[in-house]
Amino acid sequence: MTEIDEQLLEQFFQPAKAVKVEDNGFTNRVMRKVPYSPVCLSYMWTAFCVLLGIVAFVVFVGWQPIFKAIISILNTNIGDLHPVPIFMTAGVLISLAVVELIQKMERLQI
Amino acid sequence: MQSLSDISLVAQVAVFHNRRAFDQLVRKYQSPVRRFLLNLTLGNEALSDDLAQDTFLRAYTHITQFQGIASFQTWLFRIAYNVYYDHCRKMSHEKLEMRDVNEKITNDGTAQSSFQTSSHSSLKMDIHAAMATLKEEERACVTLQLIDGYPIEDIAKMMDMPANTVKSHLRRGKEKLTTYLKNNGYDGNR
Repeated sequence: MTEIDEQLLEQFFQPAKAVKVEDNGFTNRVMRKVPYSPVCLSYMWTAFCVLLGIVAFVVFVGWQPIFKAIISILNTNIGDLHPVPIFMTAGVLISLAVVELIQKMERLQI
Repeated sequence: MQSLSDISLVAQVAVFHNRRAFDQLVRKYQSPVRRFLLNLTLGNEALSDDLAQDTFLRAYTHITQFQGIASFQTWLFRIAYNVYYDHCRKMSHEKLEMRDVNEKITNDGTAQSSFQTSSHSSLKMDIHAAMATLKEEERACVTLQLIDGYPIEDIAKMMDMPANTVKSHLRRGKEKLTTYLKNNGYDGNR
């Protein structure tokens, strides 16, 4: 069995410790192969849809029907409104608020 | 502070899939990872770069598994060793050929090998020729301890083997290297 010469080995490997491998485009090659994650793709898809919506809004003069609807609401008499849809809407909104409140209390462990 | 900045970069990659943060990590650790694989592959630059690329891609896809207990470099080296090990298993035929080359180098006792085609200095050639006399596990253990300076406990974690097994590989590897160096007239003064 050979006796290990630690000092000899230390001296032999000393130059290898200082070796620094230059990048030479390695990082760029790796980054080109890094896959786009589903989350990243979903952000890009959302941004694309928002941009498309803004373009469509401008091209089709989307503010005109909004202004018409607001003016129509302002010109309506309160007495002309049917009470049933108002009660239904109020009921749905109150139910949603109660559910949200319960969930928030559960999260905060109240 | 260095590990804190690493953890911050890893968190950005894991949560926001921030590619710029990962780019910084690759730029920072490409040198030690490629050097480690270069030594394992006995100076085969093309192969070590391919394996290093696979290492970083695997690190990116499994980044959420980094727990921050060990340093990021230790975690990367573990992946690098696994990538190298998988490659060796896949290329069992090639591995046999490599052993033949290793045996030839050992028998000749000189640095004449196919790795001479790469643009390495004669010093590097000596190291790779000496490393060629070792088995894969011995080479990995010796590289991690004598070149990268890792303690036995960390090497055991990286190579997923008990510390005593690492000690055995190191002892056998160092014995072979001492014999090789003495047989080739290396006295530590050149």
